Amino acid sequence: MEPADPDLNLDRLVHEPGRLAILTVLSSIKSADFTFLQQTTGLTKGNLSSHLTKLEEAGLLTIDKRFVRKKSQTTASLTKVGRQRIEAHWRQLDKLRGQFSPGG
Amino acid sequence: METKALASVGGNYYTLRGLFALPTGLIFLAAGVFNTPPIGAEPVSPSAPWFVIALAVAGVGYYAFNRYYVATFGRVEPSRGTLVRITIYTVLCAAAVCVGITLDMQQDWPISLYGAAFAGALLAYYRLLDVFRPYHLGLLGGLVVLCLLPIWGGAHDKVSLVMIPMGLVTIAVGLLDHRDLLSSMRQARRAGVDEDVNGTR
Repeated sequence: MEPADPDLNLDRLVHEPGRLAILTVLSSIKSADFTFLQQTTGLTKGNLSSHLTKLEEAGLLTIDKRFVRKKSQTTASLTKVGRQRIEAHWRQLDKLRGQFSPGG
Repeated sequence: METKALASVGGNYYTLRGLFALPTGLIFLAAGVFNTPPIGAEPVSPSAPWFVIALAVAGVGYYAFNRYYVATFGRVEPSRGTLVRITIYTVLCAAAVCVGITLDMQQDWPISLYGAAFAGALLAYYRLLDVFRPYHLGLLGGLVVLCLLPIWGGAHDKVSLVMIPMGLVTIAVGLLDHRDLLSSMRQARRAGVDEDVNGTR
């Protein structure tokens, strides 16, 4: 069996669909709050919260929590590393698509 | 996963909050109706208090729609690049409208350059911000054509009169932008997934 092409290894942290959705939404903006991320990704509150925590622990996101008029407001934004990781991931996926497409 | 839908929903959110166009359209309509005979006559007419009321209603509208968007869809801060583009295009649009209105007041042409500049600038604005839709072309393109028809010469005050179709088109475009935003949100949710952190549904 041929050894796997290391260039085609997918970033497992980023590739998980929920996290990929969060990172993709954030890649086109500076920051978004919890409500917007929930509305756009369709994740439940609990799942979104868990994914955000994982991504923050991995250094891909920064999370800012504050209280505005006694209501908590959570805002997430991509770090430089997070932006690089999501861009690298999309390049990997494009490579894979090219590799396995009929003409590739 | 439809990444295009997910990536564009954040970038376009700021521009497609179309309900904000309703108060703007109301202001245009009020300015047009209350300055045009038989209801109003420039420069000051008994209809002036009604315009002030329309302004107040528009102000309440901006506030209410802002609350609606924040409560329903949340807060988004566009990227620095998007903000710079929006600012530059807005200034250029305002400049085009100023040129149009000045020429309309100085020259006695039978066309409305103010309305044409307004619609043309908005068309360019949507195109440059990558949110151009067929209804923009239909409504704003239609307004450009209407304003360039030589029918405005006999108007008592064509700058005010043209604000009536401008207001109607602004409201229609705003409603359709909002519908587009709702549909892009639905599309993004379909593209996303609801599964637990371990990857099982």
